[in-house]
Amino acid sequence: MLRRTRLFWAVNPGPPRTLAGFRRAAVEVAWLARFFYLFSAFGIHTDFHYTRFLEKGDPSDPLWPIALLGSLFGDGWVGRALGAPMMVYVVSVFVGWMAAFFPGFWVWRFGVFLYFFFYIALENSYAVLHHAHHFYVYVSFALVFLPASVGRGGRMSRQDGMRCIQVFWLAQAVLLLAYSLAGFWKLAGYSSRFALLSADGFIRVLLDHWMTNQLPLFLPLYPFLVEHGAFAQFLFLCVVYIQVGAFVVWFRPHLHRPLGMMLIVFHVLAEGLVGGRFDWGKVLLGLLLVFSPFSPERFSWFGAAQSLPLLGIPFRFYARYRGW
Amino acid sequence: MLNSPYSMRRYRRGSCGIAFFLAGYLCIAGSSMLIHRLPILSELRVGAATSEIFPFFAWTLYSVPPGWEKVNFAIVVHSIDGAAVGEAGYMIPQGIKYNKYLKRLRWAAEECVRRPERCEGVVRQLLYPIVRSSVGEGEVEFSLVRVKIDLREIRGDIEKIAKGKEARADYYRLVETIEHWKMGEEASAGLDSLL
Repeated sequence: MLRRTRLFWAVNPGPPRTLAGFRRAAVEVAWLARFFYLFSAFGIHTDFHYTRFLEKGDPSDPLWPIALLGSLFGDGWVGRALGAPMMVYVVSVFVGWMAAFFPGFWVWRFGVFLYFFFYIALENSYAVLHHAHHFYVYVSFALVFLPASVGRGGRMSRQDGMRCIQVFWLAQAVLLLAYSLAGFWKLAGYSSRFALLSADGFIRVLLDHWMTNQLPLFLPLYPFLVEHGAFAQFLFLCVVYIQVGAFVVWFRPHLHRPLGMMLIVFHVLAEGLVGGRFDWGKVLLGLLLVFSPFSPERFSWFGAAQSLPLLGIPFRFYARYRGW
Repeated sequence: MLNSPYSMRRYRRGSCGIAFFLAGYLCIAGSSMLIHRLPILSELRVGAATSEIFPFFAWTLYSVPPGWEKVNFAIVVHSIDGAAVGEAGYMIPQGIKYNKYLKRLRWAAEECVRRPERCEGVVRQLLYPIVRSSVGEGEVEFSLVRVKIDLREIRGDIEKIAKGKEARADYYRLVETIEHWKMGEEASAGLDSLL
């Protein structure tokens, strides 16, 4: 059934992969995993820095992993557990580095997952939620299942190579599914007020943002967008289309790179227009989509056009008509 | 590539694992709006800020566009050390995150309406530090007010706004005063989470 599902959604998957192609993809996955851990170690050193919670004190609105820790260690555990912040920092960076250089040893990979799991739970336990870092929990979770021989690169067995590919699929799938859900809620939320097709839904979001948030970086663009409300709404609809269709792209390797690049551009624009930071998310988009080992070696515009969800149907008919 | 029954079995098991994980994610995150109403699962959602179960999320950011008219809360400073501030006394604090400031105002206002007996304590804890950081030392008289904002007015002035000539407070239209206070020399801590 799973195979049928994949074949139903897949469009123009390119030439069938050879044994060498699969092996190459598995080796690329192993390298991307190493880079992920390298970026993670760097992130732990810079942004995912545990010790900054010492200033904030105990979580005011703990998520369940933090509440669980609280029930185990009692009130005031943040201060006590992080009483030796230098040690927590050194150990976590060390684990990240070790996972990058020795990805075959599951303890390092599991350590990185645990770090992100509790770090991000703690980060979101102060009554405000940011989802930008959640993907690190998923990707590090998926990579825990890499085979022990992942560190050997091209000398992996066939089964292990296939397992690498499956692990990478899982990481990609969760990332893309989250985008699809984001798009779905936008569709549902906007449709409920009949604002999806109106010319001012997005403009209202922008104006409200100016009223209630930090001043955006791209404030000088606001007059243009407000004056050309239909254009702004069209851009918004494009974003909804990209997000809703993101999960389908999982089955369509021709679109992995274009979608990765589009989502990065989307985040840059969104940060400029409505604020928020998604720096580390962009790193993941780059690793999982732009450098996807499943995308065809030679990019084809027509192949990508055929793979587009819904909009690609005419291209597919044309290709069938021409017998391509 | 997978040429033995054993490896095929492992491969199929992996694929099923991925499918189950995704289905689980979809169920939990997709129904995050409803899930907290289920008594057993609500125990997992300890935090009050969201209805989602960590780490599953559905990312509902900007999923509902605001209406043209909005209600917000603001602080009006009436006098500092006995000297009246004048008409435009809406306080727009500098150097702190504005959205978090607004959230604090909303919490304080809602708490004052819901449980008036706790209002004094909430205002002391949440609002005094903000007022002190913006106005400085001295005796300050201020009110927590509900204001109306018409986004159409802002749309009309967007050119001026882009040039930084208009302030947000220019678009506040007073609806009602929720509480009025006179703050002495006390209170100054508690801004950390807003910075």
